[in-house]
Amino acid sequence: MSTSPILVSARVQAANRNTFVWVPLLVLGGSTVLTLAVWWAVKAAGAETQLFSGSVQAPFWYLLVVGAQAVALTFPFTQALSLSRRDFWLGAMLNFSVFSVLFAVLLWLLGLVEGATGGWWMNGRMFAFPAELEGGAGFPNAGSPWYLLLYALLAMMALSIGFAFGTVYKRFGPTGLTLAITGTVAAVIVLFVLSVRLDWWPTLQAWFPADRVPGNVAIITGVIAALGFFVSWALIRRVPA
Amino acid sequence: MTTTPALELRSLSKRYRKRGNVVAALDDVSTTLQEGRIYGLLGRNGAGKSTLMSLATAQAFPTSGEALVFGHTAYEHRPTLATLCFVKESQKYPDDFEVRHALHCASLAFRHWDADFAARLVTELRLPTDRRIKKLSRGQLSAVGIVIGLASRAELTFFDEPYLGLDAVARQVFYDRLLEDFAEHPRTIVLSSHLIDEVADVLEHVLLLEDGRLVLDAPADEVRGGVTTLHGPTRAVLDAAGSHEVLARKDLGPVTQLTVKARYSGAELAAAEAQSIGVEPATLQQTIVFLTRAGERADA
Repeated sequence: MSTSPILVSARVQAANRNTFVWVPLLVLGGSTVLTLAVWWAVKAAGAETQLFSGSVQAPFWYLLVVGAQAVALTFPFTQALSLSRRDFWLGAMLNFSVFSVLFAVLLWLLGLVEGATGGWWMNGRMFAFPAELEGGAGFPNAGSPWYLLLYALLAMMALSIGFAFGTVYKRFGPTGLTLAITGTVAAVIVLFVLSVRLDWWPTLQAWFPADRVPGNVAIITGVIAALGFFVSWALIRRVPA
Repeated sequence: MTTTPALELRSLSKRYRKRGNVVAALDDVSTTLQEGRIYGLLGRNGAGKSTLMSLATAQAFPTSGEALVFGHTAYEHRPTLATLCFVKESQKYPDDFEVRHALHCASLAFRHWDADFAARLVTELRLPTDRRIKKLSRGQLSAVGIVIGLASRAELTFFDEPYLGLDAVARQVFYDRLLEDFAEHPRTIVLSSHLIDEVADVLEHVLLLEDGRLVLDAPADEVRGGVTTLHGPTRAVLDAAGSHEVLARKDLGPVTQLTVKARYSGAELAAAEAQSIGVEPATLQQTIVFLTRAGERADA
């Protein structure tokens, strides 16, 4: 037995190419083509404005599902293959990291193409949102390494949230999952109300200055991703198959 | 030289709460399984067979007690886990997995995996490798577990009701290949079954669970034929039964059918047959049913 069980675990979890290759590409391709079609219709109608689309978010929603199914379905199978819970978790981390980096490279490249083609020849923006454009919200130009980092972190965050809630489901069942989701939503609402009541906004603005948008987004997504992975790690060790 | 047992259960228990009551899925089970034998883990549905196997392989956690596989608990212990294979009867597979994906993964995970053997089993069991596992029939799903379990050649392999949904030919293929491969590559095999006769022929040792408790732990040959049914004229049958414990009696006019806890051989058998009494050793299943019923009566 020469291969590390962590690598075996990673290969098992990526054995079906659909999970990390074909479905994300299909979702990304589909949402992109749809956006281009809408833009073409808008331009054909004679509009001259700058066009924006948030369709790049579509594959990230799918990543929530990937994260959750890794625990709900793939984990029991890795148990049947006599892999340890630790090796399952580490294999998942390895796959998630490799996928997030490669996916970020793809989106970054698409951003470059977008910049070079003048927004897909239609003055549209869906992969990069430079600050100088209307609605750009302080993001750097297409091709900036920030996009690599942000897309990678966003992918990790989506996978991590799905993975964490998937672990909660496997450990505490449907009731536990419902409680965890409502609890998380309630906590966010409470924090928001408190931030208004106790006037935390000036402090928050000092922490996350408006002229450093990409850095702020990176920190917030990174922290949420880390939190999700911490939760899954803490729970997976006692999850029955 | 003492060899470490393949599996040692020490007061293994699994309890859970159900509507305020504590229910024991497995209740204080202790036993030792020796290396290189085929064990039958028998019992009715819900007797605790799957729970026992899940606990032994650390796929689930005991409430108390411990399960040692080759002297070590399997939980998060790579060298111990590497000796195990347990595909559940209700095994979950990754979404959209095809049979070939599952077999490929098993080839990566099990160090003694025999790809040729797996391929042969796939052909013989007529398993469509490019079909999605979700779409498989019950029998084909069982076949996936059988191929993984046999081709893994794990030192301690569990089969969980492996014959479910299989047709007669496929079942025979399983038992034949199991015995052939076991002869060439001896290992410890545990077959769980609620149909005792189904697996009786391949078993060397019987473990019987009832309501989570281990009620029988004996070599199959000792159990098999330990109960005999006599039938013939009432008087002759009663004579032949002698002082053996009677487990069941049916009278039909002048004829009686008597089931006794005894093994008939030699002079005793000859004497009974001389009286033209039918002497029929019970099958493993009948024996177990009679013995457990006798136990229930003694309890009551």
